[in-house]
Amino acid sequence: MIKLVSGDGAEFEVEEEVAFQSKIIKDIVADADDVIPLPTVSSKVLIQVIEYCRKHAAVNSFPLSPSSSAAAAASSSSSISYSKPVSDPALRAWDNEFVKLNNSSLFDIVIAANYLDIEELVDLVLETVADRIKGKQAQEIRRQFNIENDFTPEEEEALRRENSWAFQNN
Amino acid sequence: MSLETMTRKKGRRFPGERTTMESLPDDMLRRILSRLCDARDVAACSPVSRRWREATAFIPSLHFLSNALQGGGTPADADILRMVSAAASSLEDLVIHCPFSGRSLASCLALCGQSLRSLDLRVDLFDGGLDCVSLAKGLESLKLWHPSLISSPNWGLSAYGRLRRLEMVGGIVLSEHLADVMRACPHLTDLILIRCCSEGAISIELERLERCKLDLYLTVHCSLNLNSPRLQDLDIQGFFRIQVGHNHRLKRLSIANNEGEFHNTKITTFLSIKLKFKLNDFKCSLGNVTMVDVGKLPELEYLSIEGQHWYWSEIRTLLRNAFEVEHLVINIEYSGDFLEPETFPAIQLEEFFGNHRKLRKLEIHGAFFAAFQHGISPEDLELEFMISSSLEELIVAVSSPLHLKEKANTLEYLLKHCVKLRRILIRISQMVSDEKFDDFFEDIGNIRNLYCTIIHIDLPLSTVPV
Repeated sequence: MIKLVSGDGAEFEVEEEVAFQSKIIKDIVADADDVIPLPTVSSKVLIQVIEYCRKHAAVNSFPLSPSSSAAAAASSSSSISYSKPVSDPALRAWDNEFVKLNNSSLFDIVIAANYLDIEELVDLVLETVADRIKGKQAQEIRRQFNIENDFTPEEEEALRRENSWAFQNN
Repeated sequence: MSLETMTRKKGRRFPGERTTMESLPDDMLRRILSRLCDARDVAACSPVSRRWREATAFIPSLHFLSNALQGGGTPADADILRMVSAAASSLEDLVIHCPFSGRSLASCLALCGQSLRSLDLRVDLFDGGLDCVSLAKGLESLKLWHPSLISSPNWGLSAYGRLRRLEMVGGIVLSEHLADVMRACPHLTDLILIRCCSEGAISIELERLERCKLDLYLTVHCSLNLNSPRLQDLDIQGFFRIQVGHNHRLKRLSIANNEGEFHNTKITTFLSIKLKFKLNDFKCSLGNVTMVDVGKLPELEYLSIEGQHWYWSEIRTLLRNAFEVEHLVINIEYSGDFLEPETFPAIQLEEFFGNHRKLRKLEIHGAFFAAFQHGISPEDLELEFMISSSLEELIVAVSSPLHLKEKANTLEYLLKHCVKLRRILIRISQMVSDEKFDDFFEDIGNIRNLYCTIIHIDLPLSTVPV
C-alpha cells in the first residue's frame, strides 16, 4: 500500500496499481511503504482522482479482447487524434458520468491530474471542457467561464466583423 | 527533484480560491482549444479575450464544413485564409468543404504547407487545380471529393514521400492519370476510391499498400492488376478482370461487380464527349466477372463475391483457395464460363463444408444455395461433415420461386447436421405473388416447428407475410 497525503493533511492508503496510474508516483516510489505528500491537492480533489484511478486500474488490469482493440485502432486510423479514445464502452460510460461536474471542480481535477501525470484523466477533462465550448458564441463562452472581455470596443467591433461569417443565419 | 519542490514551481493557485478558467495556465488553455476543430467554434473563441485570441494561434485542426446542415454563414475565401494564417505554424489538419477558389487554395497551402499532415478538400477545382496540393510536402493523409483526374496533376515524382492515405470520392479517375498520382505517392498504405468512374486497365504497384478499396460505379472495361506484397484488405467493385500478384497477405477480400447507374447524365455525357464512349460501353462491362487470379489465400478470413454473372471456373478456384475463410458472402445470380448466363452446377454440400472447416457465417444467394446437393456422398463423408462443420449463422437471400423445394430440403439437412448452427435468416426479396411460395412457407413452418426459433424470415415491406 502507498500512502498519499493531501494538502489539508488527510491520508489515503491506496494499492500500488491504483497509485501507479500516476506516472510521476510510479517513477518516484522506491519503497512499497512510501508516504507521498501532495501539498497542492485538496482532499476533496484527491478523493475524486483516487476514485478515477481505482476504476481505471481495475479495468486496465484485464487486457482488452483483440476485437475491441482492433476496432479502436481502426477508428483512430484516419485523421489526427490527440487522445487515445477509451475503447471499452462500459468504461467510457463510467467516464462520462465521472465528469458531470461543475467547471471549477473539473479545473481542480485537471490541475491535479496534470501534476500527477495521469494522462488519460487530463485528456478526459480537457475534452469535456472543450465540449462545453463547442457551439457557443464568444459572449456565451465568457459567461460560462467567467471571463473578462479585455478588448477595447473598437477591437471588439473589428473582431466581431472578422468572424461574422460564422454566425450569420443565411 | 521531489514532488514538493515541483509543486512550488508549478502551482499557481492560492488556497481557498475557486479555480476558474482564468487561473488555468496558458498551456492548459491551449490544450483545451486544441480540441476544437470546427472553424465556427474557433472563430467564436478568438474574440473572447486577448489570452484566448493568442491561444487560438496554436490550434492544430481547422474544419470548414459545408453550412447546409449546421446553419450559419459560409466563409469567404478571405475568412478561410485569415484563420489559416492565424494558426499557420501549428496547423496539421485542414478540411475545406465549402466554396473555395483554386488560387486561394494555393495561397492557403503556401501558408500552412510546412506543418500540414492531413488535408480534406471538397471544393470545385478547375483543371490543374490539384497541382498546388503538392505545396503541402509533409502530407500523410489526403482526401479529395469529386476530383477530375482527366489530366495528371503536376505533382512530380515522389512529391508525397510521406503520404500514407489517399482517398478520392465521387470523381472521374482515369487509369493513366491514377498511375501518375501513384508515382507521386509511392509509400501509400491506404488507397481508397469511392463512387468513382473510370475506364481501362488499372495497374497498381505499391510496395507498402496494406488496404485498398476501389469502388467504381461507372466503368468502361475496367480490369485490375495489383502487386503489393503487404496487402491485407482488398475491396473492389466494378472490375471484370482481376489479377493480384500472388505474394500478398490478404485477410479480407471483397470482389463485386454490380450493375452501375447510368442516370448520371452529367458524367456519361462528359465521358462520351471527352473519351468517345457510348452508353453501351458502360453497360456491357458491368455485372460480369470473367477472370480472377489472386493465387493462394492461406490467411483469408473474409471473402465476399458479388455480381450478376461470374464465370464458374473463377468462383470454383477462388472458393478452393480460400480454405481458411470464416465469413463467406456469395451474392451471384448466374455462372457459366461463357457470356451466356447459366445456373450453377451441382455442388456437393459435404465437400463444400469439408473444404471450409472454419466457416462460421455464410451469406448466400438463393441461386447458389439451390445448387447444393446433399445426402448422395458416401456415409463417412457425411459423418465427418457432421463433426467438423463450424457453421453458426446462415443467411439465404431468396428472390425467385425456382427450386424452393430443394432449398427447403437443404435447410432442413443443414439444421440436422450442423450442431453449432444457431441462426438462420431467410431474406425474401422482390417477392412475386406465386403460389410456390405458399408451399415453401409451409415447409419452412414445419422445419421451424422442429427446430424452434432458430429460423427468421425477412419479407419485403410490400408483401403480406403468410
